[in-house]
Amino acid sequence: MAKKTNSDLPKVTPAFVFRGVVKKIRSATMKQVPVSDRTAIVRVEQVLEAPRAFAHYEGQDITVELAAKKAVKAGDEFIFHTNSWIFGDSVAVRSVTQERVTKSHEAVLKRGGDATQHFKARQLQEHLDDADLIVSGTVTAVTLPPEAEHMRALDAPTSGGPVSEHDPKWRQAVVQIDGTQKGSHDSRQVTVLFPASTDVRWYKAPKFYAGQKGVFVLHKMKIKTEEHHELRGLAPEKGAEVEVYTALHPDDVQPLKQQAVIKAMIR
Amino acid sequence: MAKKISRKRVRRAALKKKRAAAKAGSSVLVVNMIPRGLSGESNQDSEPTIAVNAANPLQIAGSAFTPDPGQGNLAPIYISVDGGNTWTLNSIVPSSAKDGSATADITVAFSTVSNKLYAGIIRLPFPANRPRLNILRADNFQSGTAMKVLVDRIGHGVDQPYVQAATVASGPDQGKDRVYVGDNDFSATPNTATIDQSLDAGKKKPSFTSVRIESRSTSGQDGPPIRPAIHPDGTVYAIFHSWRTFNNSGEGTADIVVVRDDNGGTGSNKFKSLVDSGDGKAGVRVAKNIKFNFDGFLGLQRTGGDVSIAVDPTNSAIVHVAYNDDIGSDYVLHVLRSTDRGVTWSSDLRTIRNALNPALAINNAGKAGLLYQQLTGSGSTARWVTKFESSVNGTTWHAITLATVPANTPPKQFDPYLGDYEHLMSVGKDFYGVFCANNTPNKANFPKGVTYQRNANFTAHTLLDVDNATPVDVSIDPFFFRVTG
Repeated sequence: MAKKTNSDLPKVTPAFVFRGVVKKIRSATMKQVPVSDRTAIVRVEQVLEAPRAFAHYEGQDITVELAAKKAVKAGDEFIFHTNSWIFGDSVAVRSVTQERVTKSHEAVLKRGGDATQHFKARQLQEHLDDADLIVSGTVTAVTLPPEAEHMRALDAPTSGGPVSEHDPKWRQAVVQIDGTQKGSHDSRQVTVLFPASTDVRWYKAPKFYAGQKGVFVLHKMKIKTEEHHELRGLAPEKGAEVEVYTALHPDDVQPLKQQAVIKAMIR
Repeated sequence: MAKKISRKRVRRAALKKKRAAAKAGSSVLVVNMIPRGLSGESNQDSEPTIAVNAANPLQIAGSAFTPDPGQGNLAPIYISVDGGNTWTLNSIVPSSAKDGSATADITVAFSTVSNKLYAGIIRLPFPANRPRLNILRADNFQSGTAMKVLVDRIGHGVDQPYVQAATVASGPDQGKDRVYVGDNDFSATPNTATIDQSLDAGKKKPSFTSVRIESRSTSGQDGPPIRPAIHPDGTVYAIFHSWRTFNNSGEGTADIVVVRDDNGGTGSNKFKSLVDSGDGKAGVRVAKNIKFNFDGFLGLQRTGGDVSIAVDPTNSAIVHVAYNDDIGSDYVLHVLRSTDRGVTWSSDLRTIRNALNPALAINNAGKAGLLYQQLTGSGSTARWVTKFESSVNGTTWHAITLATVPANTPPKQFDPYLGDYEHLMSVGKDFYGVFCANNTPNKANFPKGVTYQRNANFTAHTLLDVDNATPVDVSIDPFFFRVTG
C-alpha cells in the first residue's frame, strides 16, 4: 500500500504569474472565499504567464491568499507566482511566492508577447527537459502488442487480467527515425507504446497512425509484465520487467515544422 | 415603521409564492454549475455526483470530470453554500498537473451530522492500467485545504469508487462517521466487487477494511459499479453487477446482486445478512443472466453497467433498485422494489427503453425518486432527455423533464460522454440531483426553467466568454437540480 499522504503531490511551477498591487488586506472579491489574515484583494496590473482561464484578469481585482505571513500592506507591489484556488464570479488564487518588484524583473516585465503563449512555452520546455529521446521521423506501422495479437488470433477469452473502462488499450507505433534531437538510440527505428483508449484517463495521449510525420518526444517507462497481461509478449521471459518508450502527454507529438524550435529548446 | 411594513409585505409575498408553489405541486430549480469566471471553458464536464450536507442543506458539494482551470496539482470540486443557487469551483482534490489536473473517477458524500465531506477518486497519475484508489476527507470543505488522503491503494488496480457516508445516530458508536466505498478491486480477482469501509472515518487516522461482497464464481471479475446505500438504523445495502460470462467482444452476462449488512459492517460476517434462497449464497440475485455489452454505446454514451439502489429512510425494509440490460438492440432500464429487506422483489415498477444513468432516492415521506437519461429520436434529431420521476406507490409515476438537448452535439471529447453515472439523493422531503447535458442556452431545452451563472445569450442561443461578447463553443456541463417534495 502506498503511503497515505498528500505530500507526494509532484512539484509544479506556479501557473499564473502576474504583477499586482495589494489593495486591501484581510479581504476578498467573493463572499465564498474564507477570509483570513493572508487573504488580500490584489489588482492585476500585468499578466506575465497564464493558462487561458486567467489570461483576461489584467486590470481586474482578484483575491490572493498570500504566500506567507509577511508584512504586506495596501499599496505594495509584487510579482505573484500563484496557482488556482476558487473560481466564482471572480477568482481566488494561492500565492506560492511573491517577490517585490526590482530591477531584476525588468526583462520579464518588458518582454511583451502573449501571456498564455509564455505559459505554454514554459510547459513545453519542462516537458522537453524531462524527455529521454526526441526524434523526428515517420510512423511506419501501428500494431497490437505481441500477446494481444496472439490472443486475438485465437479468439480466446481475455487472459489473466481484469478489464476496466480505464484500460489503455495499448498499441505499438514503429517510428522510422530521420533525425535524433535528444538522447541516443541504437537503431533507425524506435517502437513507441501508446494508449489507443478514448477513456477520460487516456484521451489526451497522442494517437499514432501510419504515415504520420512529426517530432516525437519519448519517455522511458518500466513495466512489470506480470502485472500487465496485454504486454506480456514484450518480455523475453515470464514476469520480466521491460523498459519501453511511451508518449502519453499531448506535447509528446509535435508537428515537423516545429523541429527547429524544439531543437533550439533542448538543453 | 415603514421598514416593518415592508418586511411584512416581503414575508406575505414569500408565503403567497410558497403556497402557490405547493398548490401547483413540486417546485423545480435547475442551475448550470459552471461559474461566471469560467465562462470561456468548453470542457466535457461529464460524470457528475453531488453531496448535500444533511446537517446544513445549504452546503452542497459536486464533482465531475472538470479539470483545474489553473492546470495545477489539485483537481476541483463544485461548492455551493446557498442550497445550490450559486456555485464555485474549488481546487482541493489531489491530482497531477502533468496528467491533466483532474481525476479519472470521482464521487463525493457528506456524513449526516459531522459536516465532513468524503470523496472516492481514481487519482492521477496511475501506472499503466492499474487505477489508483484514493479515499479522501475534507473536515471543512470550504477551507481551501487539500483533502486529506485516508487511503491510497493501487495493488492490481481499483475501479469506480462510489462513496456513501453517515454519522451513527445513537448507541456506543454515536457520532462516528461510517464510510462505505463501493469499488471494483482487481487485487481480489476473480471476486472483485468490494466495499472499502471505515467505522470511524472522521478520526485523525482512520482505518479502512476491504470487504469482498462477491460470493459466487465469476467470469474472472465483477463489473465496475458497486453502489452502497445506508439507512440510519445501521442497515447497509449494496448492489453490484456480478459477471457470469464475458468474452473478447465485450459481451457478457451478469446477475444483479443485492447484499445487506444489518449491523453496518461491524460484525464478522460482513454483508452476508441477505441469502439467496436459490443457491444459498450471500447476496440475492434480483435479476439473473442479464445481457450486457461492455463495449456498447447508446448514442455517444458508453454502456455496460448501470445500477442504482436507495433505501427508504423511514423503513429500512423498503429498498428500490435500478439496473440496465440489453434486450435486442435496446438498452433497457428496470426499476424494482423490495418491501422485505431485499429477500423478495417486485416485477418491474418501471421499464424504460434506451435510458441509462439511473439514480434512485427515497425521501422522508416514502416517495421514491428516479433520475435517468433517455435517448429519443434518431440521427440529427436525436435528443438526450433527462427526466426526474417520482412515485408514492410504485405504480403511478409523475415525470418532470429537466432537460431535452441535442444528442449529437457537441462532439465527444472522451468516454464517458455524459458519465457512467449521475446522482440523486434526498434530504427531508426534497430531492437533490445532478446530471450532465449539452449546455446550449436555449430555454426550450429546459422545460422547467434554468439558471446559468456563466455568460450566455438565451435569445441568440450562444455561450459567451468572460468578456460577455466572444462566442464560446457548446460543451457538456453539469446541471444541479432540486425538486421540493
